[in-house]
Amino acid sequence: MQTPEFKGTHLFDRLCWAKENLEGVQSDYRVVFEDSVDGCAKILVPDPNWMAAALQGGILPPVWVYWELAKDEAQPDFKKHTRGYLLHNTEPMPAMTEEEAIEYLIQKDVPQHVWKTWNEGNKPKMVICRKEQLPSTRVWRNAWKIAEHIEATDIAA
Amino acid sequence: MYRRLSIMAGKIIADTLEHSTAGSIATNYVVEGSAKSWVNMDATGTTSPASTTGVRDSFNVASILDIANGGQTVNLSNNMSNANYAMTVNQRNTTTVRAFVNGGNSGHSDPTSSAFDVAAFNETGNAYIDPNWIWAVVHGDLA
Repeated sequence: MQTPEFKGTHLFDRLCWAKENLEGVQSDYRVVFEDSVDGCAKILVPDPNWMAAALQGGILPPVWVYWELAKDEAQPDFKKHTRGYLLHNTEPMPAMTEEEAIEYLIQKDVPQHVWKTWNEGNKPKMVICRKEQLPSTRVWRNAWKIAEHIEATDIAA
Repeated sequence: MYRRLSIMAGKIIADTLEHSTAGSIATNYVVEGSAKSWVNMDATGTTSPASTTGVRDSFNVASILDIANGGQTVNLSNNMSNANYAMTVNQRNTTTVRAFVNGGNSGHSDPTSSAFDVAAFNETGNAYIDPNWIWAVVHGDLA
């Protein structure tokens, strides 16, 4: 199905179109990351409807739009967003592969201090994996950490 | 009766909707009162065999963060105008008689225009749990 040419269409309306016309896509990818030394590992789970919109193309705004809004929100005198038009008027992203969509989502929903320096330090702070590679039960969930040594075969998988 | 009405291709622009007997309603009630996001998720891994939170269905959600036992973050696609929106959260857990869920706890982050936390507790409130069903709905103004 061809995405309508959304020019200046409110992002919410574009999401409504996606919800009505696209089947959700359950991704097998998960992103495991640690954003603090003391905390347990967190796991990013892509939303199936969002993934469908990402694969379709022409719906989601570029990720830098979210960074700009986050900058505005971090200002001490922030009251409400005045640049919401960036979400709606910026040219939407073209169709992404599932891997590109995961990279986009990392840059949107994982803290920047994690993904910008994921491989600096004594061990990786972030790993993209398939969900089958995660522990099979939630036992000791609050103690989950990324292994210090990840084998190349694990990375390749 | 109608303060403004214009019809474009595929779009009706009106300030008021009137029923033949039940009265009228201003369309801003619909626009401002409609839910802006909702999600139905599973913290036990039923929809996600690898034991992380899974999303059954949703609207205006980009991702879920499984942040700990009994804790999730919901990330939105279309930001709200600020963090002053209202969220409604509820849950059903098949392993305890009753349980509680709320918008995060003291160890979680405050809501932002793009994300909010959910925390689930057991019946006595002294331990986190991972419910089979978590529902969250957001009302408020979009960015």
